[in-house]
Amino acid sequence: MLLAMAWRNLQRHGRRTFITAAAMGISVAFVMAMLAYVDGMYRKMADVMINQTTGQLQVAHPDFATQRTMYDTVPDAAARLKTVAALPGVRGASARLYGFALLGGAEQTAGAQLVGVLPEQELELVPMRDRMVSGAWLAPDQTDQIVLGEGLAETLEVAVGDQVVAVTQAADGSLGNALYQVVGVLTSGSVTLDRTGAWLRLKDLQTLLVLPDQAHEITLLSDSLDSRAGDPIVSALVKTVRAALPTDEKHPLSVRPWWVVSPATASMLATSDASAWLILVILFLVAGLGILNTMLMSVFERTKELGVMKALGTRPAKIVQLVLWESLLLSGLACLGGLVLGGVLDWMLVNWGLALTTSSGDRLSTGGVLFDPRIFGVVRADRIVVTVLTLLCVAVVAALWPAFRAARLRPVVAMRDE
Amino acid sequence: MNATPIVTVKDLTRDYQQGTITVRALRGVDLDIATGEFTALMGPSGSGKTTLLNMIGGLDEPTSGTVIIDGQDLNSLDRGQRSDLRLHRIGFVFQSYNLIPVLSAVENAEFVLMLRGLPAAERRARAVETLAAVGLAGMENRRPSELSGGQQQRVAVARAIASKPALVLADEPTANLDSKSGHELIATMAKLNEELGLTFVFATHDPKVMNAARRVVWMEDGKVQRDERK
Amino acid sequence: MRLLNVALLGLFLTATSASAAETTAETAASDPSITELLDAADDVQRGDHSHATLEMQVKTAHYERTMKMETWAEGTDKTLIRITAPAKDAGVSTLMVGNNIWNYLPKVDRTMKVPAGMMGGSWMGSHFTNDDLVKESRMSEDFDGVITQKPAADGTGQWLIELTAKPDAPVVWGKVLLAINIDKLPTKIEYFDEKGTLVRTMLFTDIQDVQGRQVPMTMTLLPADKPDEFTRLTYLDIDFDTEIPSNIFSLQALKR
Repeated sequence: MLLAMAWRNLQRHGRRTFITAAAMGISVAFVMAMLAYVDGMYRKMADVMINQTTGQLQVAHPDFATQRTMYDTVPDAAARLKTVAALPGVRGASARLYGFALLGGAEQTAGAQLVGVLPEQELELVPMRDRMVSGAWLAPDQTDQIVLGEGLAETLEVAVGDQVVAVTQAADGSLGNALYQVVGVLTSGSVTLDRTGAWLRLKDLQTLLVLPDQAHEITLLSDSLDSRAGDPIVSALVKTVRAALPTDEKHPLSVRPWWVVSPATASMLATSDASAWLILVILFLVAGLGILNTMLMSVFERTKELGVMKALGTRPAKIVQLVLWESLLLSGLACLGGLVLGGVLDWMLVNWGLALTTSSGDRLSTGGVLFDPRIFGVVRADRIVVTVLTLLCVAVVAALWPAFRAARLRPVVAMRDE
Repeated sequence: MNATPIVTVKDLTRDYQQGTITVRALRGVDLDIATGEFTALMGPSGSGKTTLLNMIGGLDEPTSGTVIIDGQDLNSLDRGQRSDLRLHRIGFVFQSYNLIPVLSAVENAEFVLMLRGLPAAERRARAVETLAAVGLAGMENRRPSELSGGQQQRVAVARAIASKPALVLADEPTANLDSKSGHELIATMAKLNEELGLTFVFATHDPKVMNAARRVVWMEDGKVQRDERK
Repeated sequence: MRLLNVALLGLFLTATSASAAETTAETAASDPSITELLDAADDVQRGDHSHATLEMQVKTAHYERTMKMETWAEGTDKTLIRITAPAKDAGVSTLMVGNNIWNYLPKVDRTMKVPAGMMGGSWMGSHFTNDDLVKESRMSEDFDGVITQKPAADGTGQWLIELTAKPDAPVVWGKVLLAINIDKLPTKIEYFDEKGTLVRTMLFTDIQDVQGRQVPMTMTLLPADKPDEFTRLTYLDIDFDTEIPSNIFSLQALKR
């Protein structure tokens, strides 16, 4: 009967109930949409900053991540890559070799960060083809091709079809130099790489640097879609890979998850998760105040009625229950509406995406990483459950004060209320 | 009637603070009410009759003196226990507008039974029965707003007696009713008193109640002035 | 000072002419001023032309290699270096005019100017940087010097000079310690950073008489932080009297 009373009490002030519920429902919908957006951005950031940069885990010389010296390589890279790529739970694997070189176009020269890649395998990690501004990605069977970052191509004043010279100090101390054909220009997703990055076949860079069959990183992707430091799937794969790649003193190898390779990325992604919670907190603070106001008004209006109930022998706990039921029903209603509206918003975010550009029309940039401005929402069931549960908790907490106020009413005083 | 009183009031006083002034609402009241009595507390406004009724109902606490209901000294009970005592021993009928507006007539009537924890079917049956006894058969599903003042008070009476309390306290039950409705309500309660032996105590200044009552306790300035039995 | 230049061109001999060697006794007795000593160490052959062949031995933790090269120089401003061995690098040429450096790469048939940002990089895998090749600084102008030791009257011992960078001098060193022998030829130079930590040491050894001049035929650079590494330049042949066509110091000639 309490539940029925709570329900009917809500109907008593239909408009007020509706407005409060609508406000809360819109909050829920908005929170859902924001979370889907933030998670979409988060997924994208994780994709750019983890999958496409460090990979989810890396096999490298133990000192390479910190020292980045040319000589800290993974020897017999082809064989090792083959070993790890065949491991269960490996979704993608590629080897990369890095080197610094002076690149020269017809007139201009500039320093460049060369990335030697396996053209096909690299595509499993990074959607290079989507990033081409002009030309095409490296062909796996062609030698001496190079793809330049957009900014670098501009600096060098070269375009697809032109030739560039690379000069560098090779591993044996000789002056490595080679001529490459520019086959493509891309925008890399990283501000720095855009200005300095150049991609060529692993084998070509190995030749240039005189580092035969060596790589600086073997980069792996797992089945995990998570992007939180300590992700168990990635951690498990790290162990698998370690077991599969015995190391000796002469060829030390480290197998590290991305959060160890790049703690900065981990902390940045953690920040973005925190921002999701901030959204939740702010919006539900508003919802909580709405409930508090509504329930306080409702209790005030019914002082006499509540006095009568108490006079008849209603225990305070029952009164608290009644008020809480009202608040919960109100929020439940709001949740239902919010879920429907939020579902629609989420659907739009997931299917259509949302492009946010800065006022200057530039692409979004976070920590030096550029993003495609169109973010597609990612709907996570756990987020929705948490949202609804949070709202219901807020409903209970916000209604506690009005409820205890009502429960503490003294019948004689309350019944005198007009 | 029976010699064991259901209500025993001894030297009861109640002071209210109104700003700096102390108002003495009750100045030493002694009163026994036996089971089955139909008693009216009469007196002008401010004579203390409502205060006394609230004291008996455990809704208010005395400044001094004791109230014993069915052998229990209210001073020895805490709020929760007094609340339970009201729930299990006392039925209340207040001035009008004391029904719970979101509940239908039958739901109001079964409200106290619900609080007592009776199973839904049983309390519903008893509530319907009680409504019939107060002459409201067929109106079970009406909301208070769909009932006349007299009908509302009958529902209030039904609510008060549905749980078969040892004592029914009614504070100005006819105050907001027209003459005819007032008569009918009093007749209903008198009938319940006679047929079921329910004990009624009224606080009223309605002569109709006085006429129906078999005991009239006259109050003035917080004291019992006269105690008439017919 | 133009570190590598100094070595490549044997410019220490400028102040150490044959006559200087003959008058050693008087010089020691009459105490040259510090400026005189520094300029002697610094100065180039004022319009002199030189042509030399050298061997450069580089040893690092990762490789050890020996290169042969041929050099032409005119004054301090113009130098051409051509690698002759090993085969992999043969034909690679470096042209220095003023503060600019161009490299010619025969394999790709291209000439590339070394951009400003890469001047601190290694030259030909050695411990010399591109800056070392061209950066000009005069010790007597950029440093305050104190003579801490003098050769004995009997001609033994040497000058020790401690140089401290002037506050605003555009130099990378905080302190330089010079050892100059009785013939006013530097034998050892130690370079310290602003914090006073030894960065590298240059040793000048194997002094020979070439066309009447005293020339240290071998110069060794020892980086202080890598005790097992060095770069050693050794003159195989040096000629101060050769005619050098002036058009050799041009980009066109670089490709030859």
